[in-house]
Amino acid sequence: MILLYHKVGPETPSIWWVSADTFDRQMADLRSRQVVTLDEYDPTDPRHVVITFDGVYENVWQYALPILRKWGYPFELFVIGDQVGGDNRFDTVEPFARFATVEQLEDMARHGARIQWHSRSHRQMDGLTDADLAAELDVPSELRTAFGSPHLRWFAYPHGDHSPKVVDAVRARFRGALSCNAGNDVDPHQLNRVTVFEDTRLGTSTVAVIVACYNYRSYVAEAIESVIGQTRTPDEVLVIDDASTDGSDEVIARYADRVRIVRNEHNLGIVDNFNKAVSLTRSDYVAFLGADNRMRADYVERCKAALDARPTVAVAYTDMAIFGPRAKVLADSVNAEPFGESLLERYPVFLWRFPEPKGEALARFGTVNFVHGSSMYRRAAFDAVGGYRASDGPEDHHLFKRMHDAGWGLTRIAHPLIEYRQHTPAQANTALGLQLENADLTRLNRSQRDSLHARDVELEARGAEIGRLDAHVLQLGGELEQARARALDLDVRIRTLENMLERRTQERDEQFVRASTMLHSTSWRLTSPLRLAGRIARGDLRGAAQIVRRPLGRIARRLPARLTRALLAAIERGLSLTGVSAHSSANRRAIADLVEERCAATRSAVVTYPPRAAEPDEWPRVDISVVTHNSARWIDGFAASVLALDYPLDRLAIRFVDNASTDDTVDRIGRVAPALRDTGAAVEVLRRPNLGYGAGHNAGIRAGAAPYCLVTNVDLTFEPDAMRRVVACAVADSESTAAWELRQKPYEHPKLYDPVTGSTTWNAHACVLLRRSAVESIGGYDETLFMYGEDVELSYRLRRAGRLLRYCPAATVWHFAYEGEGQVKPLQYTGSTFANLYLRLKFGNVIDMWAVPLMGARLLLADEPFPGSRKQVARSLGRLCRMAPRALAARRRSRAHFPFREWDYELVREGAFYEQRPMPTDRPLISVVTRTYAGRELYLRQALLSVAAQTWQPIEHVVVEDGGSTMRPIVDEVARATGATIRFVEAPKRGRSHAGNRGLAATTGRWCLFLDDDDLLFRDHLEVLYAALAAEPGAVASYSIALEALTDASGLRAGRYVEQTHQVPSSLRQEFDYEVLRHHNFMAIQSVLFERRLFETRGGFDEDMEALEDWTLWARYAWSNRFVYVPKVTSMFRTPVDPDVGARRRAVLHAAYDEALMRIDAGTAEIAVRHARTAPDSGAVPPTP
Amino acid sequence: MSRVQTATELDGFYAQADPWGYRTHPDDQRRRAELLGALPRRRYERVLDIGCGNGFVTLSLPGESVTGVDLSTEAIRWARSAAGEAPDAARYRFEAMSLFDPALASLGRFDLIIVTGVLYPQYLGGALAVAREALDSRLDEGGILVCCHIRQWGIVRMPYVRLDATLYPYRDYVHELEVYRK
Repeated sequence: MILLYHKVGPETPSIWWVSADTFDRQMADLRSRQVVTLDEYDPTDPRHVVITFDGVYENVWQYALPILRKWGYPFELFVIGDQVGGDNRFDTVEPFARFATVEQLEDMARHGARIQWHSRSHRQMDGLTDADLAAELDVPSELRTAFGSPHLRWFAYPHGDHSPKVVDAVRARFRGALSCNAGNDVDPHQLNRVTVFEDTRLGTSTVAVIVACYNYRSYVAEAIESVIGQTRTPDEVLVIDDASTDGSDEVIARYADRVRIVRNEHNLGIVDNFNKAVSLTRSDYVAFLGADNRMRADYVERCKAALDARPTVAVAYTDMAIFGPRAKVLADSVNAEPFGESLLERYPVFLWRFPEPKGEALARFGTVNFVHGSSMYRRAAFDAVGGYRASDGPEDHHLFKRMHDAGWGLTRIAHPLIEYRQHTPAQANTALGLQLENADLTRLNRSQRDSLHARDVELEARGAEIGRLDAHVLQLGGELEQARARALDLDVRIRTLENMLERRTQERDEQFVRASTMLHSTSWRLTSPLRLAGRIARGDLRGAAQIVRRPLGRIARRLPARLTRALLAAIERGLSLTGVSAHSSANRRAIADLVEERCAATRSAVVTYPPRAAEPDEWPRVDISVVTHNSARWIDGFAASVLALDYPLDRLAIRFVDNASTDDTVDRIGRVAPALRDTGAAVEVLRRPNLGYGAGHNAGIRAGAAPYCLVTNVDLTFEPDAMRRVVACAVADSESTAAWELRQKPYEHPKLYDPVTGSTTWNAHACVLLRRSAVESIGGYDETLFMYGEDVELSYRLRRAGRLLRYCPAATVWHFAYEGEGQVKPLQYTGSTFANLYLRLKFGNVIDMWAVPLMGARLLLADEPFPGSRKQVARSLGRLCRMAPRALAARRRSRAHFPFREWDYELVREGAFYEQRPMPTDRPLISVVTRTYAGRELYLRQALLSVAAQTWQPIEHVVVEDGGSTMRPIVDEVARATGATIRFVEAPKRGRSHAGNRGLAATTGRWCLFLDDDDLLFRDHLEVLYAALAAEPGAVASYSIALEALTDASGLRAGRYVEQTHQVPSSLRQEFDYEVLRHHNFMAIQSVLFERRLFETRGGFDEDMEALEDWTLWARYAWSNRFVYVPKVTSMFRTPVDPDVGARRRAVLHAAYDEALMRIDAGTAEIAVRHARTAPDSGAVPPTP
Repeated sequence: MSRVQTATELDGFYAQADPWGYRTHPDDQRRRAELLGALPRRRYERVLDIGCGNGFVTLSLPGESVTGVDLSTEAIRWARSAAGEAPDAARYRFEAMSLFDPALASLGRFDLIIVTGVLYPQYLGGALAVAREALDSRLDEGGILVCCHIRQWGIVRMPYVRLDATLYPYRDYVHELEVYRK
């Protein structure tokens, strides 16, 4: 048989095309024949086949050649001489195709092709002249040169035309010739050819693959797909399910469109099941595949070809690949060689080669099987030996042995065509099996989603109409809302303007007072020559005259003109020379020293901490020095409070130093003394002339010998624990500390002290505990000072000697120094002004000293605050002149800095006249939450200490670290050193707001306060805030004003920072007003003590906010609630000094403003809605406390 | 049978650098990760990526030299420009070529071949057998062949021992990734 092809390609646009895949299958079918060249062709041999192509087209080279090479077949190419390298544009019916070039023909010749002749131009041959015919039949010499023997020996008639004349001419030139039209099998020059089409079948043998499944649900899909994916699709695929109980049938059913499925009603067992399966198929060849195994894609193709080629062979068996979790076990026992590895399922893959069916192996075939059950066998042999039978061994081995015994042959295909899974039943759930199931479920899910989507679309259409109506309603609502918002903004603006107006009015009044004071002040008068000169320089002569008129008149009235001129000139020169200021340049340095001391004390681990130190085993003896002068009315109260002290009174020696009282003070003392002595206390009265307050105390101190002396006014009473607390502090403190000042109530002395160490620049000596050795080493009080200022003087001298001074607010006395706030006492006026000037001479720097005469002059010439003051001042200045040499002689060099602020000394904590209340006996737990993060050791330690030192107890302190637990050691260390209750909470790194909420959630107190790690609390912070709340039932929070420290923290990691300025931002001085709060924040975060219930009912910080989160929180908490304002500085916060950092911070805050405002409105709206929906009280916080 | 897609049609898509959003779609990130994760751990010398498109996967492949081929000349233009920006640009070579082009043989033989989204009827028509032969002729004995295709578009297996296979969701479909050793 001679086959004729024209074109081969991916598609079949006309009948002259055969698709490449069909061509491949047709070639496969030729395995049962013998493909030969024309030279070898024997027309009488039914097995001989010749493959020929006419044309020859380029697509033969592109698509047929690879397949012919694969099968190793020779083939014949009949070329049309004129068309070589051309195309078929002449053929208008056929789609465009190119003819093969000479190079392509040569390429094919190298791979089994023989080039033959199909005429020069493919003309109709019949009727041509001899010459024309010769021209058609003669092969051009260049082609002959290119393709020598064995090429170009055969001819194919164009259009199949083989009339006798043409045949004769051909016979003379070619060894043989082919026709596609009425040829025969006898005459080699008229051999017949069969044209092959897409649907031509060249072979007859068929293949059935049977997948046998019993409870392999997880594997069967893989098995079936390995059959479906065969390069040569089987003619029949049967999946037989031997009554699986694991749901295999559900998986198999998914392939119902591609395979035949049979499910046994009852489990038949292997033999019956296999026989049944074979009987259900008809194909010539049969192959079983266990449902847990796979066929390699070329199994059918190769096995069928092997059986096709060898009619006497019944069984084609293959090598195997072993895979699966137990592959190694089998591989080791059969010496299979490693082949690869499954990365995803982590098992090795092995290659198991079987022996060829010959020699010793074949001889022992009866006992040692090498033909596996998935071999392909011939149905004829199966039928002949009676199919599968029950036997001792495997049924397949038994079958193949019987075939072999009956004379059939075996053949081995040396490729691993079966992939043989090694597993235990328990390993049935492979990842791939699950993935297959998942894939199908995914598909199902998608189709359901699609149908849902269709319904959604319909719903959407109906919703759109509703949406349009809604939009209109919404638009109207929006306009209404905008109008309301505008009204609200205007309202706020009006309030703000009102506040501003009030402030401005007040300022104007103050300015007015100050201006008039100034206009009448000496300095104004003294500097009028300067103004005069300015006016004259500007040519404003009338103004100049105005200036000159009044002073000239006055001077003329009072003084000789010469003296006036000299005085003016001297003051003028003094001012211009020194740049004198009433505020000393030492002020800032003194505060810097405190900060430096604070950093030094907290740079490394704190071991003990005085304010919370354990009480001593034995209380030390204390001398109490009380100076009286006409103090009769205070004696009883003072004595009673001493009696009420919880200090062991027998350790006290009380010395009343009476400075020549003219009332019955001494009698009174005598009357209370017995009761005091009854407790074991020593009581003594020293009567002296009145040489002043300091001198009195010097006498009182000298008369005793106890290590500590309490110097106290008599016009006060002690809290019962005052002595115990102040002594405990002193005992725990370092030797270098000289003084511990008690806190005065109701008006606390407004000095600035360090919130962490308690250090201060001077102590008020209304009530102070002194270390005897320290006081004696500097010779006690300077008796030059009669009253007032002697405490500053002693403090400065102690500090000059290197001593530390502390403020100890845990110990409290009630001091009745003032009848009411703002009272001016004459004695204080002259006494304190004298002391100030005297101290400037003794401790001030050059400029502070230069200021003395000017300040004295000003004091002398100022308006009298009370009648006769000027006379007293003059006397006092005279005394100053006498004392000046002594003061100047007492100056010493020192590292300490001594602040002077005009007539005062230290920086003042605003709120001196805020009335303090008694400490309540029943104190609720207050929770403090501190947010921190890595690298904040110094700040955090200080913040923790400022909380541990609070006068308020009990406190629960919760420290939250944002993203880690690096600060835990600091927390542990401070808790150990102070005995404070501090809990550490580690939060994931999600920002400050999240950390704040975590901390708040961890609290248990009814009242809560945030203290960020770089802020500090003065010691009365919680006490004052709680007292304010207690005084206003119904308030849910209280807040105080705070000091802002401009801080240069660039050295923070090295354990230091510098506070450059301290001031109270004016925005914090704001009475509570919700509408103002809605507009801007006026509460520093650490200054607000609030009820925890607010967190529970109104939530915490918005966690996605990194700025202004506190403002939105306060606004949410404040809505329809009341906060109490405390006009006293009780805490401190920092702002960075670096202008760039500051600018960035302001930019962040500015950027966050609109967002925060929006959230405030949204948040309060939500609360309002909830509030309205639920029972009247559940949304709001009930009255407290 | 569906009509075979031509190079011209593909060039139409590739008027832009990444017509199917490979570089941005998370499923394609996963596709690439699955593929790279399934490559047998060994040293590759010559690597061929068939259907390389704009080089999305190609530029992550191992191998001393990596050749990408695609039917679309426009796709190859994008792939070359992307490779030009890679620090190891010298490793890559891109050619516009059909799997059916006998000139494929001029590229030589490879120890790793990746075939992604090529073995579909819309590209191959009825010439799958030729495609298999083309791949076989380019793959070294013992070499690795990796196929990555959408399951719903047909099941095509290759005549080598399968070492690994995995399925994962890909856009609206399920992708099947197979690793063979010749």
